[in-house]
Amino acid sequence: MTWLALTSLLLLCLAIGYGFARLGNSQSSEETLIERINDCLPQTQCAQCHFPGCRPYAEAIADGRAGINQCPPGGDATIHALSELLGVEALPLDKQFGVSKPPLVALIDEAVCIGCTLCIPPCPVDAIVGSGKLMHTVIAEDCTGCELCIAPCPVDCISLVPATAEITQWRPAAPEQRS
Amino acid sequence: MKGGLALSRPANSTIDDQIHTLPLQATYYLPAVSYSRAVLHSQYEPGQSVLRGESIAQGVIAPTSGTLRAQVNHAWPHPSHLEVPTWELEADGLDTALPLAPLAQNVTTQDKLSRLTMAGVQGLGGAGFSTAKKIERVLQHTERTLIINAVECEPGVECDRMLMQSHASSVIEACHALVEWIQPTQTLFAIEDDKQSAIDALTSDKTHQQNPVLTWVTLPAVYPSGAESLLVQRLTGLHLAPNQRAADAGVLCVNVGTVMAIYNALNGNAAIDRLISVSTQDLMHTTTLSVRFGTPLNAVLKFAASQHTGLAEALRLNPTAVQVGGPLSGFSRPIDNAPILAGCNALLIGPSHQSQPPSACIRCAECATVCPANLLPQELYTAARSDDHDVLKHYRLDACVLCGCCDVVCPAHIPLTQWFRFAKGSVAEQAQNEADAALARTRSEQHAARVEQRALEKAVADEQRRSAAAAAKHAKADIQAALARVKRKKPSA
Repeated sequence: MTWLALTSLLLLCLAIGYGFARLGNSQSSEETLIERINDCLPQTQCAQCHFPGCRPYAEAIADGRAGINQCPPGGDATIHALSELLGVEALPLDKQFGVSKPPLVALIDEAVCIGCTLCIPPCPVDAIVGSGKLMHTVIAEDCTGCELCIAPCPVDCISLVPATAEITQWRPAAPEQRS
Repeated sequence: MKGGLALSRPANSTIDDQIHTLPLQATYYLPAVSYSRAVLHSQYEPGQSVLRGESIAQGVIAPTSGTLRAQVNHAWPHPSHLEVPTWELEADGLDTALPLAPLAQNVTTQDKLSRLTMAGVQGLGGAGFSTAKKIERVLQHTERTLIINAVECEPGVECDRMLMQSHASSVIEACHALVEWIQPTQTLFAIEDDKQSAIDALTSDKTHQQNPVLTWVTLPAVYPSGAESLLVQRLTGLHLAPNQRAADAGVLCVNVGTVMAIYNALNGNAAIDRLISVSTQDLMHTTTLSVRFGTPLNAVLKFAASQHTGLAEALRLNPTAVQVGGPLSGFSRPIDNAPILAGCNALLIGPSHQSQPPSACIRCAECATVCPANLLPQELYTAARSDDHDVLKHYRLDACVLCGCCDVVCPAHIPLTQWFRFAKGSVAEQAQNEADAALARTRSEQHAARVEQRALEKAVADEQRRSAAAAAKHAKADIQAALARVKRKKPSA
């Protein structure tokens, strides 16, 4: 009987210890959750979700202020990853936030650009290079295709083009599933 | 090596024991896309004249002298069947070579590496990896192993054997030159036992007999013994980690044709051609051609047919499609003017193997028995179907060499290798997306931090200005007050 009592006491101590450990970590576990949600997001920083970037959207999801289906660039892959992470139902993308598109990058028509610098501050990833009254250009490798530079341009010289050549994007297709 | 398939040619098949050189063509097609499908850029303008051996873009060498035409979208010998931007080179018929002097013995490693890059030397075994980059990685190690890969294990591919038996002394000289440069602790010459004629030609060479620096490793003829990762593991016992290449572990594994190309480049001849085996699909007839890169596929087949009646008959019966590559690793494409490139070692004429409709996996594990990489293809197949990357990683998709042995033995006719190609593409795409996201995230965090810092600095500056203005106002008021006091005092004084 003694060993039974001792074992249960030991288990109780462990359980209490674990409970305290969890309590102490609640702040950091909240942070970890936001980080893990943020890891599922495509980091386009396009604000189409109605939050000013991916991290604020992650915070909103963690707080229950936003759904997991508000990210058009992430599309089904992001919704699937979030649903798995959070154990919630994978809803289809909410069309009011936009539709999924193939990866795009901004391209400045250098002949039309007047060098006004208005497109530079809105770029969330500093992918536009340029100076006053001098031609601007987009660093294609750094551009996320967020489209935030398009509206400020007074001469409409920025357009979105496919991020990479068709051949670079190609990948082998799955066999036809006949069985 | 565990697994693999002992594949052999039909007993009564004929091999033409001569290398035929294709005559100069009127037009060559040079894709502006690398083997890894990156778009290449060039300083050259349309209309510009080039000489044979001139480097037009990275890894793109003019196969003859002539005029470069503007880029057009042109057929490309790739399973995607997409057209890619391609330079047309209109030959002038003079075939004038760019004067490239042989490199002196005492030039630096860097000079030699840049010569290889400039001469367009790339792996001829199939992968098309830049040879200079490979050697550069190996030279960073002090303990080096050199493996000359002459295994050529796929039936119907005979170009390495033909090279070795027709040019034995040059091959030996090229191997010696490479050993001299790399200074490996050991040099293994790996070859299959069904290439006796090549072994005899090489071992009876005088230079080799006087200075036997090459250690012969004769392997039984089992496909895919020549796959680099499997060969390296078998000969050195080295287990490569996922995404690790043999070169990163100090092992230089090069195809014997590439060894010749290195030697030629160091001696002033750019890599502009390769040997190609042309066979009928049943492997009854085979001939070997020396073809310059950029030669249209249809011209190669027409010439092969003119040299060999068996091939002519096969081409007459099957004039529309051809298999590019060996029977297991190749892919079918229409016969058009897509160019021959470095990775193309064989062409097969004839009706390609008709795949039967697949049925459900019966879990017989035949695929696991033949898998040379010791994997469980049936598990990888299930994971590939559900596109589950964690499970694919667990069953080591990265170690799959896409040899196609499992396809051959599968009683359910499941296109396993095609599933693995798809899965590898899916994993690579996800990795790319994650890398892109990580970069965007870092840059956006830095952007946000900078915006915040600027706002803070502005707030501080504003505050300072405000307090300065207030102080100034205060000082002015003090002066006014002092003046007022003086004024008030004056009348009484």
